[in-house]
Amino acid sequence: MKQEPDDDQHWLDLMAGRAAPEADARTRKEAAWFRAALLSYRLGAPPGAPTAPDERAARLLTRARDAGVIATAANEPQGKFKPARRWWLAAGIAACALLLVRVPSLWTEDESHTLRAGAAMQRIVSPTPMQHRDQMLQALTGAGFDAHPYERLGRPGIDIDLPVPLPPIQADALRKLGLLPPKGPALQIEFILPPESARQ
Amino acid sequence: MPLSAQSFTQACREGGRQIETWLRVIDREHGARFYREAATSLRCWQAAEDVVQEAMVKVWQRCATFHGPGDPVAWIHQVVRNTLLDALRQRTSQAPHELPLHDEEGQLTAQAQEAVLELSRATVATPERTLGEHQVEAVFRRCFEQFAAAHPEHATVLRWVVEEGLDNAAIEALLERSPGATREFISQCRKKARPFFASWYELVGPA
Repeated sequence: MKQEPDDDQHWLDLMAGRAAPEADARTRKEAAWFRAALLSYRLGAPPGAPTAPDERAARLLTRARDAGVIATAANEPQGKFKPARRWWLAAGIAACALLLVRVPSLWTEDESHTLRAGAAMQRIVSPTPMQHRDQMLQALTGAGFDAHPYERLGRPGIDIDLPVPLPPIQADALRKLGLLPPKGPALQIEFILPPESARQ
Repeated sequence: MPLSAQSFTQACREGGRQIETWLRVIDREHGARFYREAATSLRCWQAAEDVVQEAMVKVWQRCATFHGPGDPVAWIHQVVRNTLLDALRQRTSQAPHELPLHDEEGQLTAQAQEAVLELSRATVATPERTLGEHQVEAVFRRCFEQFAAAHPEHATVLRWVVEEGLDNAAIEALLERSPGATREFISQCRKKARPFFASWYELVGPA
């Protein structure tokens, strides 16, 4: 059954639901039936279900990292902090300073704010941990850090992914926020109540 | 973050976290339909995930070739479909055919035709026995399954043509072929489909 090239084009147009007035009757009939059947008996997805979205997204990101499309925290290039982001960093630090001025109560109670330095975890004692965490988070993200909030055993905290080695501009930014720049690729900050409040 | 051409080109230029955010958002907002579409053609959810994720990585490896101000999601969808067709093509070439199904002109070999007819006789009811609509549907589905098993790429493109009204330009872009090669592909779709649907055409009587 040899078809002319035009006839195949007519067949395609009819299959796609477009008019093909020059198509011959046989082609019209063939396409009309085939199209109607394909539309009526649409093929569904196979049995089963896709992977849960979170798991799927995690696998996608791992794959993208393996392919070098996105960098891991440990090998994030230093050049990541581009000129445009320096502006944000400066603005973030300024915003943080402003925030601290506007909320003096957090920083006037010097005795209750003890910073304990650790390699990857730093704790800040605060009478209002949640509020303090949110303010710090805002300051960090405003300064261009990749910071995420978390809560563990009722203690609010912040996870920060950092490049290694840490660029001086980011190290300075952390110091200005009262944090010690860590050596590793991540920093956790936890906000805890003073011992006397925790006992009550 | 809006999935706009602007945010896409910016992520492509700057990389890092912006790409990660794009990956997360596109997977959350459009992943379900991409995975479902791939699974429908591949008949396997796991293989579908593999194909879609391979496509997502490809998107960012070649993101500089995206020319705005078009819709980047539509462009990504096309990359997903390209990758899916590649997978279907590869699957066909890896299938352990002991005998060639087609002769040099692309027609079913006599042996293959006989095998299809034999399978039809064994599994498909004859026209005399099939009266109800559900039987016609069952025959069509079986014919399509056999067609899709033998020519998955052609079956998938044909389905998209019917369901979405693709024109030659859209098929060219999907296949990444020249206009001439695309016309040949369309012709092959028709030619390759015909023997598989012979028993169904016999039943409904159009050809």
